[in-house]
Amino acid sequence: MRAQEDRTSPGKSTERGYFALVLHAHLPFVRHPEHEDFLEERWLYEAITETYIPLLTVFERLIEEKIPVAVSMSLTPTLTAMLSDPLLQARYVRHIDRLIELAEREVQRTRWLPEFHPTALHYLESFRHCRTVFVDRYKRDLLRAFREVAAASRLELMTCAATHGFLPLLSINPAAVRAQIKVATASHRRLLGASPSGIWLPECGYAPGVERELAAEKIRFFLVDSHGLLNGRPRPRHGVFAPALTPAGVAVFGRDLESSRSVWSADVGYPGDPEYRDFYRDIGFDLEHDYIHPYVHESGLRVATGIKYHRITGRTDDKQPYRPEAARLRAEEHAADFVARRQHQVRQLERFIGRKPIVVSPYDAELFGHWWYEGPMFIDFVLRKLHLEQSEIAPITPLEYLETQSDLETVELSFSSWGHRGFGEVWLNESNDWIYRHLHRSADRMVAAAAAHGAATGVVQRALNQMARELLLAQASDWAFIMAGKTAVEYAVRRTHEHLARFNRLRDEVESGLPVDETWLAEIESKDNIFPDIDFRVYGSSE
Amino acid sequence: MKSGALNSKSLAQLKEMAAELDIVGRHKMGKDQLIDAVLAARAKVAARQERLAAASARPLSARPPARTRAEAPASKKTAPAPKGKALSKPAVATRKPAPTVKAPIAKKATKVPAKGAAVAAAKKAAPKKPQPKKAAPAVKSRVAKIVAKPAAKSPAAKPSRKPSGKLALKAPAKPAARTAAKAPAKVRVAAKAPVPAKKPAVRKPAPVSVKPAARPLAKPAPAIKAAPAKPAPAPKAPAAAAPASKSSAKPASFARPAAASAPVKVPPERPSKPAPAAKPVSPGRPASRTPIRPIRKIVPRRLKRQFELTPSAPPINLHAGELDEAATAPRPATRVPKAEPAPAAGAAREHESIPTIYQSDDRVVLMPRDPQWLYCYWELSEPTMRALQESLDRFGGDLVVRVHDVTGVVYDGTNGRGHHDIVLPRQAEGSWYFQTLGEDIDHLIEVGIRTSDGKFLAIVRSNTVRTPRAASGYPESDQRHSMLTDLAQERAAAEASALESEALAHPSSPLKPIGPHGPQAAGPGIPSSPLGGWAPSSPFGPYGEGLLAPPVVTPEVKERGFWLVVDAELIVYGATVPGSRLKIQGQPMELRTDGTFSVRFALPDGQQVIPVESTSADGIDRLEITPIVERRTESSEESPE
Repeated sequence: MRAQEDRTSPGKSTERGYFALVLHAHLPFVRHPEHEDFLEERWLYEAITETYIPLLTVFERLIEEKIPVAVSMSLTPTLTAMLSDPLLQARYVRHIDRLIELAEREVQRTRWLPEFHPTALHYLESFRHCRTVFVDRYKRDLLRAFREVAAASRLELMTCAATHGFLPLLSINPAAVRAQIKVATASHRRLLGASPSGIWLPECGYAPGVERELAAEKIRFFLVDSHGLLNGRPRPRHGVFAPALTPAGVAVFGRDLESSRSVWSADVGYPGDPEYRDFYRDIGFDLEHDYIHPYVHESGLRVATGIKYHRITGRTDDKQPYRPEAARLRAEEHAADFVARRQHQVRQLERFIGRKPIVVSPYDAELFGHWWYEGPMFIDFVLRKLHLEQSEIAPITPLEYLETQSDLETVELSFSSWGHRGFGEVWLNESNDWIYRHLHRSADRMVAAAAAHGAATGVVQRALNQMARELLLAQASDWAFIMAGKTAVEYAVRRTHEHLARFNRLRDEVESGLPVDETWLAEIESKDNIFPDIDFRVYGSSE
Repeated sequence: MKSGALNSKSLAQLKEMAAELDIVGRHKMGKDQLIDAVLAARAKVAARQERLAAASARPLSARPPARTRAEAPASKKTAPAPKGKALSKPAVATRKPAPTVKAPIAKKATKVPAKGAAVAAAKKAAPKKPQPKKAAPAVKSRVAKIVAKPAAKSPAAKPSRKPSGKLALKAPAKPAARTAAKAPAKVRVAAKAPVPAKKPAVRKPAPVSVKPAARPLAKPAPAIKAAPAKPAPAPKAPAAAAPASKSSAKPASFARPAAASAPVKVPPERPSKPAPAAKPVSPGRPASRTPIRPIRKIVPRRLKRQFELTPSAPPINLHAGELDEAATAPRPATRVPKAEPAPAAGAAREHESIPTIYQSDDRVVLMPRDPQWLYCYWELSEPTMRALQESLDRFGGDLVVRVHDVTGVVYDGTNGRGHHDIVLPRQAEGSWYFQTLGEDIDHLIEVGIRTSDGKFLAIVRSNTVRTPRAASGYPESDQRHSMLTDLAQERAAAEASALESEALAHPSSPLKPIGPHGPQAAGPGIPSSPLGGWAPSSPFGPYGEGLLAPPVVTPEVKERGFWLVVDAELIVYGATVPGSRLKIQGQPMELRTDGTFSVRFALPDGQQVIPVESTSADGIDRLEITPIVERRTESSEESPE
């Protein structure tokens, strides 16, 4: 394990198997120009501060040190739309500036509290770093950062469905699925400068037929949860440790449960370690009102600020102070453990599989940093250790793997997802099933409108394009997901209503033949400004 | 001010006295300090008695004038400056050094023990006119007292009766409070106490009592300061009004979309886990054995439109062969979908209008949920419904869903491999979850009439859905964490807490909407305990629970769920000649352009010596003033009965 001298690089024939880290970065499209301080927009700001910039920083540092960054990352079209939006960019700057100011005050405030003071300094430094990266280095354009890192390393950027629609439940109308895919790849080309080779199916939701739409967009591979691949017909010989081909020729990789669990699981997962930073304790909830007021929501609503001083400690309410250095050491230990387990796994598998196994470990990107504060550090350590301390496993991306393998077996898959219990119950239950009737009818209406007005120009064309945007936004799986979560459902309900209502009103205006209300159209175009170059004809016939 | 009597004591004697008075940090003190401390402690005792006696005195909560308010230290200790001057004059211990005093070094902080506890000190100090030289009055931190007798005094509600605060002056007790108070983060809560008192008046149950353990997340942690300092205003009208209007507004806001006529099923409908989720667990059960059993029907209230039989309507014979005809029957002009968005509707209310009815045709849609359960929804047009009603009335029978196994066949209405029927309510629209015929089977359903003599007349046919193959050994607990849930959760918690803290923290501010979309704080999904509903459906699985750490650390929790947390912070502020260089405790500190400064410290128990040093821009003049502050936390407790 500590064979420091063994510096074999990946791709050499010495390796016995591969490891593919896949990160899925996604946030729903939340952008409310009509409100100065909109609570849900903080999702984005927090993710930028805690996950995206820290990950980019890790990647950049590894590149500098010539350590391979063989990682796949899906950036969903909703996320890329927000990251490239000037309004949200400006609001992030405002956000991070406030955070820096708060951290500065915290450094003073904690002067007589030696157990917290170093942590306050740590936050100040890391927020300042975020500002430097975001403003000075990348001129507010984090997509540029991702493009540059991808160009300079083996980081592979994948796409996702346009608005993260849960495809198995939209596929009643195949045109709905097709549009989700096509709009996504177009967005990927526009914002990330290349056609995506890989796609993250939202929630790993696969239903038969989806792969045809992927093939039409020249997508080479997607991922499913373990059982999604294991339940294939015929049963894949190599289990999830080799990809398979779907009948349409698109490759499918299966999630490795063991490595997933070591990060996700409560019982054996790393992030629950007592030494790690506690997610819940936050000065936004803890400190005196007048002091914290300027840094929480403008209404006075207390929200998390991101400054958290305690470690998980254990199953106790008596949280102890966070110790950044101790946590860092723990992250390194966990990385070592993770690598050792993958080695063990590969050695075991070798005996059963006639080829070099690939272990695919997909995670939500926001897990690292936002939830598991030390997560980016953990990834840093894992990639270093894979490169410097062993030669049994080579990190690889799914696409790289496909380039080297030609004899994949063909299997037929059935419906699956990585949601609770593996299918559709998270997105289809009594809390959210009412939306599907509307989503399906609206998709039908969209298709009908596209067929009837294929030659539309001017404001009617704009209205039709906006209909497409509203439909896509209504289809986001996030709303159903939040409704199922049973907390704070109102925002999700409201968004669903809003987009469906806008869609239907536009549709009525278009179908009525009367002039479209242009003022209103312009207003919602500026609000729901995702996919600026969308063409509603994506819903036209192409079958 | 020094007492000669004390001066004559030996160090050891002084220490003994200090010990009796429980003076914090006495071991490290020199003789002079000990004398000061002893004097201070005595003064404090005296002040207590004084206050006990003076029940009619002004409430503690008297706050500094408007502007100072923001700067008021958490505990009310400072605020020595005469009220009127607060605005422009330096604060803390600050008397502005007389410009004439050119002494390069101000007298090195003579500690003037404050007379009694903060408030008292403040009041007295003013008239007292400290001698010019004695720059820094030592500010004594107030003793944090805790009397945990909730019922006895709903002091919060009666702020004007200041005594409540005073009553606390009992024998010191548990160090617990002290600990709590120490860690800055731990602190917060304070103002909790008032909550329960106030709450009942406004909203019903105090969430606090519901789930003390889980609660913390939501805990707003009103500043401590609020507790002692603001009791007075809190109970006032605005406070009460706030929650009140909030609670009333809340349902309204949610109702909007719902009432908008969309078939929103109100989630609370089934408080626990979705029933279907719980049942399907029996993976091994042979599907064929179980008759298809609708587990529940979901018919949004608003959709329960029973179509009346219209006598004049021409009967339509629903034979299978006429299916298409029925399905495509032109929609009567009279029936316009009610909820079609009216173009006239203002944009502002746009989101209220989504169609409730799309009945341009008959339709049934089948959706896969998992290997055991399918979901379908149907919509029948009015002519169909009318004909159906007529037929049923005339011949008897039921509206049914027939579930076919069409695996491997192209279904033509007759060649299914097997089927089951489910009787439906006679409704134009609705939805059902039902058990599948097994995994990996192509399902297709038809909605139609089953006559009393057993004949089936299909009205409309669904799409085909293949059930997925079961996940062998899919880990039940392998749930993932997601940012969305965190955030939604966080929000819920925050909002729930805001309901309380706002009332406390903005006693006098006009009610503001919570968040941009109004007081959605307690949406339908947010019960009084925001965490209550979370755990089961949280993607955290078991993980979450352990981590759901109440932000309130070791509060004094009584058996009855009553609790209190107190902490204190200190604001040191003042002013000097603009452009000067300022150091506080040796650390450079930026002056505002007008020469003022202010810095806030978490104040742990013990003594803080805080030299504030200003050097003129040209480096020639230098002044130093040193407040010395001590915090000591005591607590006590009273049990009911």
